[in-house]
Amino acid sequence: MSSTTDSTTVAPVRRPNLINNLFPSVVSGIVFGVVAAAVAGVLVNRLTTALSPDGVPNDDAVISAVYTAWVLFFFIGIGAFNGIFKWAFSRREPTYAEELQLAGKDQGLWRYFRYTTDHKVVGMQYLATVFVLFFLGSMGAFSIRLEQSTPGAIYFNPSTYNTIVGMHGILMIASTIIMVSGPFGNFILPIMIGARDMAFPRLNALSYWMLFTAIPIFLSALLLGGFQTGWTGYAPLADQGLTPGMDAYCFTILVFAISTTIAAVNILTTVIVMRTRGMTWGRLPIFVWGVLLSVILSLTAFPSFIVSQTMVLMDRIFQTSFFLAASGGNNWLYEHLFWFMGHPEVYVIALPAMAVAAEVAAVFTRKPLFGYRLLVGGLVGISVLSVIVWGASPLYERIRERIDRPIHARYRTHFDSHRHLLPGACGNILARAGLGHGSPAVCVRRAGQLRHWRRLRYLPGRSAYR
Amino acid sequence: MSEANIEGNAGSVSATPAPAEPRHLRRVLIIWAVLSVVVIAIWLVVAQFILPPAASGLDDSDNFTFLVLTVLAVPVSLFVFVFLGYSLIVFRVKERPTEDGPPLQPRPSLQIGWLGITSLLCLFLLIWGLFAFYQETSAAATTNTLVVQVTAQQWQWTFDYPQYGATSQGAQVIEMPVNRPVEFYVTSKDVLHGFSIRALGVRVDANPGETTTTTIITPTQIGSYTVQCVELCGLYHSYMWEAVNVVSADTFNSWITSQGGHL
Repeated sequence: MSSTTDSTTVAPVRRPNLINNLFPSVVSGIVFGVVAAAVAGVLVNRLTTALSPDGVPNDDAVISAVYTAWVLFFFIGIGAFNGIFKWAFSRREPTYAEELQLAGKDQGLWRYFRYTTDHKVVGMQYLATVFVLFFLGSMGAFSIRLEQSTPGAIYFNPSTYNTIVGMHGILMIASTIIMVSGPFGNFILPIMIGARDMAFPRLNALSYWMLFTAIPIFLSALLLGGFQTGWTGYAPLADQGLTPGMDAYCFTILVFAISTTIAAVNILTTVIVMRTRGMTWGRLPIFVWGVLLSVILSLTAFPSFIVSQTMVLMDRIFQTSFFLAASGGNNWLYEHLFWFMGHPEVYVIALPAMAVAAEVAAVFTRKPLFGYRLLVGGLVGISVLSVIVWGASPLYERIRERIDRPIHARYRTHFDSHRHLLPGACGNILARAGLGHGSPAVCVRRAGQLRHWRRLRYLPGRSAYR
Repeated sequence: MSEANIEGNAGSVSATPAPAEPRHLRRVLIIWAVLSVVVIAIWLVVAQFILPPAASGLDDSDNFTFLVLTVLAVPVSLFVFVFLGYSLIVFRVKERPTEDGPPLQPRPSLQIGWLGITSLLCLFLLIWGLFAFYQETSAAATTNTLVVQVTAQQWQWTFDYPQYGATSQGAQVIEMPVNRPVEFYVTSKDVLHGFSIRALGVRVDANPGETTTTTIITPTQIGSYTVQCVELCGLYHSYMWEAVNVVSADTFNSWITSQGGHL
């Protein structure tokens, strides 16, 4: 937002003092969230103790109340509702100056710690967060190998070890999904299609900060005794109320899935309505096609994940029996719901990665993409197929499947994630990060002179050099 | 600049007969064919050592499937890697390029051929799988089929032999007679478990509140194998395995008696 806004006269921004700086920002968000979480915890603890016949508080209800209060009041504290309230009470649209203020104009580095609507700020927030998450995830892998270095439990007890395995899995998978919709979807995608920003800048900020609130919830699983289900969270096992760590898992998934859904809606709308003049569907860069199809898939996939985790939480808190065979439930319900998410989710990650491979090859061979239409058709075909084959994964378990059973027999989830996703998605996305000189990582260094991005807007065959 | 370049090149070509452009396509295809043969040969040798031993006809065909599909996958993946690697090495432009490469126009015949070949490969996998699936599920029960009821719970197996009234729970050893068809009825008491004897080619989920029947298999090799849980079922999932001994009929009979059964 440089050249066009310089000429227009902007109302002078009030010189910020300390209070103005801290409220609203991530600091006030955390303060509000933590205080509210503590209050909610105490209240629900008292309430469930009073209500239960034997005077024992419902741990799962307490934990869930704490998390709900944390998320809600974090958003009040960070000022997510300020704009809405202002709009509701003053009954006018925000002025241009206010929009710029929201977008982080003249706020220096501090804009990265506020509810900032600028898509590049959000992209950078996402990128930094994803790096942290990937670091934590790889530390999980490191811990697993460290524990395996000699037989027997040396550093972790079995429960902690299981938890770390599960956390490593969900961290890596979630981070790879975020990598697509976050930094690339928010930072690069609008530039590639010639949009000035995302379609819904506030939803943009919302999706990032929801991810932010999910991180402490996720890490608290370790403090609450961990969860024993691994990253899949299979249900009859998840219903066993051993430790409240499972609630942390379920809640993390809920918040993360909502965040991803919001990001997906935003990206989808941006690509559909905010392409620049001349950016027809037939000229859309292949990477944008990949992200577009990926977010469409995640819109179909993640609701069922939300549903399944809500059911597990209800099983745990209210003693419903969605998944307990003894009380008329069925574990197949969870497996179907889970793989209805899990199967497209592989392609949520893989489609942009394939598109990245095509884009990188086209740019570096300095040729137009070979068979652009066929490639787009292929990506669409994969997305359609991936939604209807979710039955395959539970099928492996119900009947015996021949084609790749020797592999699938023991290492299904391990092989799926490590053989496909690791080299495929991560490698390609890293390639994307090195595309030309224009990775967000490099752009941190060269912030301000992003003009070469404009070039990517045109056909993928155009070089990114100059 | 760019026009000068092109003219310069054209001029040099016409002036001195440049060395003939090597036949890249033929070279790549030869490299690809040789590498494919070499890798397939290596795989056929290595497979003897890394494929787990099979103790039933079913698992034999499993291993065979694995062998064949890998052999087929080698040329397909090498096709990609060899073309990619060759292009990277041979067509690399070292200095900063000043203009775009000649565009490669997709010809319908090329695209149709590409689509057709990959579709055929996928169809082959599907047909192979369906055929094998039909083959292994079509085995009919015989009169002397041994019925074993398997019950999984956290974190041990219970094996009931209803024909003999024998039970083996949490024991270190479960025995089965050689060359006699076996059928497993698998269920679970608490959470989802996975019942698997790799050497016999048995793998099925143990669902709570539901009994799943495996296909009928016949152990053909006397030996000691492992039954293990293959679905993460909680804290001590990794300890949920026991030895399965395939033994002679006599040994089996005496073991059944020792487990409190009658013959």
